Amino acid sequence: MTFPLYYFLILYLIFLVVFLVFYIMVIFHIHISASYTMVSFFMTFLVGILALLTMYSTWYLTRATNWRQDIQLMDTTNFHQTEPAKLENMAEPELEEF
Amino acid sequence: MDIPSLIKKKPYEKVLYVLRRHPFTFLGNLALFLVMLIAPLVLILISKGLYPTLLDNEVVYAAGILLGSIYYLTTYLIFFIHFVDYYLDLWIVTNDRIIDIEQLGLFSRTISELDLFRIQDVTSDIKGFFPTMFNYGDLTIKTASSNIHIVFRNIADPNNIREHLIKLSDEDRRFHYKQDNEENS
Repeated sequence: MTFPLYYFLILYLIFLVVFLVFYIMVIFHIHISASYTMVSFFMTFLVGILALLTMYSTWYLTRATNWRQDIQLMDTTNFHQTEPAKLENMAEPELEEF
Repeated sequence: MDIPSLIKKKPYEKVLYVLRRHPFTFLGNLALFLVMLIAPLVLILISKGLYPTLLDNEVVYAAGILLGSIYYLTTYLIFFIHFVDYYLDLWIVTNDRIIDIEQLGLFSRTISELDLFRIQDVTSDIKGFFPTMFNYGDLTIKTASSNIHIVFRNIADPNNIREHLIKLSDEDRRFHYKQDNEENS
């Protein structure tokens, strides 16, 4: 069973969307509870910058990756074999005379 | 949105205190966050020692980078949510009432209100080494009804706030008593 490596990339992008949704939700909470102070601004800024740095580092470290290559999850060729395996180049066993 | 809009401030009302939890109570979360940031780096060092050629495989390398990125982004998000849980706990004291806003996680918030003249008992509580050193603790406000009480958790200088609350409550009670007398006469 094989699948291309970019499936992982698609999962990662879905996770990024979920992250963004939660990040915006937290900022919305800060706004509606009248807690928009220097402290909350600094925390929002810090988390945003760290997230951007992480995403940039991810892109930088994987920029040379060939995402189209296939990953083999399981080698199933042996499961489909119907004939018994032929043992080639095997010498005939010597039978001892009793 | 600002505090007066949040509490729907009345025309004669003045916001006297806006209290939050003491910053020292968030240090535990900060320490845990730093440990979670360092953990993957330690794991990489150990795996490089045990399996030096593990990351030479392009697929393992790419998957590892993406997994590490997801781990770090999740850590930032959890830290941010813990911060919101700590910072959005708010106690507002005006010359008319007390408003208790408690954030419980990201999708749960409890808001309670109490008129100052209903306050019967105010108790401040500082327990432990760090609360004593940094002067923070709980303040429990009780009314005549046993069902209603508000707790200011881990606020700075609770003794001072207690004294002021008792004064404010006395003043508000006298104001309401005077108003009732004027209405009756």
